[in-house]
Amino acid sequence: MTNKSMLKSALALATLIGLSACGSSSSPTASGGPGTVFNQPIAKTQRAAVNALVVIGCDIKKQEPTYVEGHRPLKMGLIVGSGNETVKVSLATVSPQKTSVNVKTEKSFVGGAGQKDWSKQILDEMTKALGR
Amino acid sequence: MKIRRPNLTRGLCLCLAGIVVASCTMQSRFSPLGGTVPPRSTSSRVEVFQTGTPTRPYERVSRLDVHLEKTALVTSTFSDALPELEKQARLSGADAIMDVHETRSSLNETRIYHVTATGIRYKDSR
Repeated sequence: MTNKSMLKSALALATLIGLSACGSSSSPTASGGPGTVFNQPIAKTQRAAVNALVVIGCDIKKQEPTYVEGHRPLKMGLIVGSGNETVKVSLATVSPQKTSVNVKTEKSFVGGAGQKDWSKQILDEMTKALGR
Repeated sequence: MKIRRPNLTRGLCLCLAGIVVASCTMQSRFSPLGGTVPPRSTSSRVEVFQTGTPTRPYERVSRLDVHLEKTALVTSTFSDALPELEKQARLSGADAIMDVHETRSSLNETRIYHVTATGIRYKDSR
């Protein structure tokens, strides 16, 4: 292999790694699925969603009757910090006393190593508050 | 001959201390439970019932949340959150705090601590 072709291969590999590292990833289970159903009206479920986002350390960015969005601030660490995730909660009325909830965590490129999918914690916290 | 590097060690310690201080975050809020109650003065005393309930008649006026995250494996305690909890109670018009729930978790080197409480107002204090 010549030096030129080795350089070409290295550049191609670096580009591939760069492309795969960019963009945001999201929880595969949280998006587009049937959602978790709570036996509560949508207004009460929405309040529980807001409280659950606060419990995991989100600043509430959007608070609408059928949608809540929070962002966890980025924290610097000695080795790996944490935060910089955006957590989105979508709500839909199934019946007057039943609400379907979908939770999606969006991770960002900055601080990716210290990020996690918060969907389970959100649903657990909502279950604690609302029951099922 | 022994080489001493006090400045390097001191610099490293200061740098680490700086990172630890900079990596501590606190978030807090209150949400009213029902009607809006006027806030209390910043110097007013807030009673804290970590367990049990007050003997005086009361009504629940707010949900209080304080969230602490510290990196470098540094943990938080209730006393770290208490001043902010009292501040949020005053802002929500509460005379006292009860129903204190603490949650702890961790993520890599980050230690997460969350306190949820209920702000109450004595019915005979109006």
